Order: sequence, then structure tokens, then C-alpha cells
Amino acid sequence: MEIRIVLALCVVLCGALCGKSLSDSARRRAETLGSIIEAVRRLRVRMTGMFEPVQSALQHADSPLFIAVADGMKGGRSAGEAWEIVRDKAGRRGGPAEYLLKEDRQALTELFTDLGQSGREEQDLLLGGVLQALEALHTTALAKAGEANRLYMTLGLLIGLMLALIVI
Amino acid sequence: MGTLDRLKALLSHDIFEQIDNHQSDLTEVRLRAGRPVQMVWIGGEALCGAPLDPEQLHAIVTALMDYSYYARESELNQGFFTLNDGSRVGVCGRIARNGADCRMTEISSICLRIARSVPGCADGIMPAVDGKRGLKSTLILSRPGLGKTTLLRDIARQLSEAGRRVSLADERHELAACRMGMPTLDVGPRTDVLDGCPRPLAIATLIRSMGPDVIVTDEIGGEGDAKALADAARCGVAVAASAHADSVEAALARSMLRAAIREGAFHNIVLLGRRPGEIRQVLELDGGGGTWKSA
Amino acid sequence: MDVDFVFRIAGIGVIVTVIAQLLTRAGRDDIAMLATLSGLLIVLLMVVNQISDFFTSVRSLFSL
Repeated sequence: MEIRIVLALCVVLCGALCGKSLSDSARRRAETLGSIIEAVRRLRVRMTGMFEPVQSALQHADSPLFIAVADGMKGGRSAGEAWEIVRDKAGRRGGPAEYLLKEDRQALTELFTDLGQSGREEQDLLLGGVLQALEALHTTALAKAGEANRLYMTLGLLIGLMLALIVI
Repeated sequence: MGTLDRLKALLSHDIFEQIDNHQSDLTEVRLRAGRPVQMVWIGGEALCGAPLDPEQLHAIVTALMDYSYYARESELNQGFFTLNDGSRVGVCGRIARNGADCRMTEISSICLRIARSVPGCADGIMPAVDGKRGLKSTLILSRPGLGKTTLLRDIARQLSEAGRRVSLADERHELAACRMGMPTLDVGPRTDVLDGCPRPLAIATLIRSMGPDVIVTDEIGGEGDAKALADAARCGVAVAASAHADSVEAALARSMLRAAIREGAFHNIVLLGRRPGEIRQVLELDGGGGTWKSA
Repeated sequence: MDVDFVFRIAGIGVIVTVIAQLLTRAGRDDIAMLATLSGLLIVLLMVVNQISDFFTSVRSLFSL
């Protein structure tokens, strides 16, 4: 009898953990957005505070996505052109933009298209605007991640319970 | 990528094919909105290709700036910017004034001067600069575009290789063309570069902090330069500099240069000729008489 | 037919209802429908033997 209870508890726990890992992609999206926001802040300091050229500033912003765009700029391309090339590859499995949604990518496209193309004040405004947009996306992503986490854990728990009932 | 290669990538190839045999001595490329590209070489020039669209020009300029317009804004508002290899790009366009501030709001034409380092071009004047009587302050005079900067660069390199401690006050990034803190042009192994700093401040700082034997700087003639040069002379630091003037008389007509020359800031004056790099005359201060004789 | 079995079916029923409600509240109505149908299927599979026995009994009772 005891073994059956223990076995039942194990199945329930497994269910909960499965649910948690399913909610992973929402959590990863929020994390990716958070790290991109940090990188844009660093970019802003380097570009408008230290007047560092775009390619170099992107490389030093400590973000795999930005480093990929900086590498794409080799050969004389603009940031916007480099982003077009890098975007699809980065969005694939294992890439730095894997968990980003369409609206996140849209915000990044707006950033890279105009990056470096105007004076200091305009660039500061651009980066400030992009930061605001990304922060709004980040807030909703965090809320969704929390929601998804709760939902999937509960579902996993319940399914585990059901399996335990059926089998044990 | 060299400047010429970048230009070839940005403009169409057939423009360069039209001046194929002059590519090696190309000195200037001038781009103007709505007009064909002008190529200038030693001894000639030509208009090549179809007229440039204003959008094309803007795209080329942005590409030349490594897509970092904001980083070059302060230079641009003074009518120029420098490329990574030391080539200077003069910029013409519309200036918007906000009180004392000038801002370049539209670019209508650019003049790209292709920088070349010519090792050995200063051989003829090195005996005067660093000869039997030691280091002597030297002023190089010529019209724009005749190789003053290239000559100064070679002087710095040769002095540095001969064991002198050389400091460069490189306000316009043309002498050493520093990138990420390192000179991209050869200025010698014993040379320190203060990049982008206003000249009077740069000279004072270098004397205080780097203890140079000689300071090399180009295009003197601004406010504060005379005092800085006099201070250098008082501290026993030689100066090698250049200025825009066609002759000694023309130089003396400019108040700042007159002040510097009359105070004995320079021992030698080098006059350049009509062709780039041609040294027309080397003059030496004649005792204490304030006159100049041939060296 | 033991009571155990009935409690199991009841438990499964309750759980499937809760799952469907959760999913509906989260906006995934289509998955909620899927969950309800799956629950029904599972229960049917569980009782299929009992149903088969039931029909056999009815047939033998009425000698069909």
C-alpha cells in the first residue's frame, strides 16, 4: 500500500516537473529580452557617451546577438543590412534569438535599421525609444512567463494525479 | 580594406576603369550630388560616370563613416572627417547655425584626399631637423594638398627610429590615424600619440607627461598655438609643425604665425613646391637677426 | 465491481473538469475541449470491460 502511495507521489511530481519545463520557452523569452535590454543600455553609453563606432560598440555590448550583427557588418555593411542577414539564423534552434516573438524581432529591426545613421542626439532618442519598447515587451513577457509557469505546473500536477489514479 | 578599395565597392567599377592607368597616383576623389564623380591625379583630372543621386551620396558618406555618423558629428560640423587610414574627407553642404554652434545638416559634396605614407620623403630635410647641431624646430609651409602631413609623418618616424623621444599632437587624426588607441600609420617605435586633443592643450600635456625631445603637430595657426609653441621652446622641446602659407611673407601676414616665428619658435622653415612632396627650399634662421637664409 | 473502481472514475472525472476549466480560463478553449474528450476516452477505455460484461449479462438475461 505504502509503495503504491510513494509511486503515486512520484508520478505526480514527474507531471509537475514536465509542466515546468514546458513553460520554459516563455521564461527564456523574458530572459533573452532582459539581456538584450542590458546590452542596449551598454550600447547607448558606448555610442552616445564615448562616441564609439557602431561595429565596435556592438561587439563590446556583451550580447551574443549583437556580436553576431557586428560580425555581419564586416565587409562594409550597415547595421540594418547585417541584421537582415543574421535575423533568420539567430531565430533558429540554438540561436541567440530562438525564443523571441515577432514583436520582439520587430523592435530589434527598428533599432538596427537606423543605428548609426544620424547625429548623437537623434541616436540617443532612438536608443531611448527602443529601450522603452523593449522594457514594455519585457514586462509582458515576465507576466506571461509567470502565468505559463503556474498553468503548466498545475496541469502537470493534475495529469500526474490522473495517471496515478489510472495506473496505480 | 584600404580607402581606395572601399570606394571601388561603393561606386561602380567602370568609374575606376576609366582612369585605369592613373589609379596608382590618384590623389583626390570628389563626389558631388547631381554631378559626375571627379577623379584627380598628379598632373590631371577627369569627370567619370553618371551623375550621383543625393541619396547615393548620403549612402556613400554614411558607409565611409563606418555607419557611425554620431561619432564623427563634431568633426563634420567643422567641415571634414578622417577615415581609418588617415585620409581626410572634406565635406560641403548646408550649415545650420544655432548661436555660435554650427551644424552640418545636409551634405552636398565631399572631397576625399587619399593619404599615402611615403617613407623617406623627408630624407632631404632630416639633416636640418636633426643634424650636427642637434634637434631644431622646423616649420613646413605650403598650399593645401602638397604633402605637409606626409612629410611630418616621415619626420616623426625617422626621428623616432634614430632614438629621439617623439610626441604627436594629432588633433585631426591625420598624422597617426589612430584606431582603437593604436597608430595605423608608421610613426616610429618611440612615438607617443595624443589623438584628437585640441592642439594648445595637447602640447602642454605632452610636455608635462611624456617628456618628449620633439613634438610633431600639423596645421598650426589657431588661437593659443603661439603661446603653446613658445612654452615648448622655453622647455627645450623642439617642435616640427606645418602651416598653410605659400611663402615666408605669406606666413608672416598671419598674426599667430608671425608671433610664433618672431618669438623664435622655429629654427628652420621648409617651403614645398608645386608638386606633392617637392621640397622647394629649406631656410634657416640667420643668427639673431630675425632673417632667413638658405640652409 | 468494487467501490475502488468507482472512486477512480469519479476522481478522473473531477480532475478532467478542473483541467478543462484551467485551460478555458487561460484562453486555450480548443485544448480544453481536447482535454475533456481525452478524459472521456480514458474513462470509456477503463470501463469498456464492464460495459462488455453488462451487455453479455443483458443478452443472457433475455436469452438473445
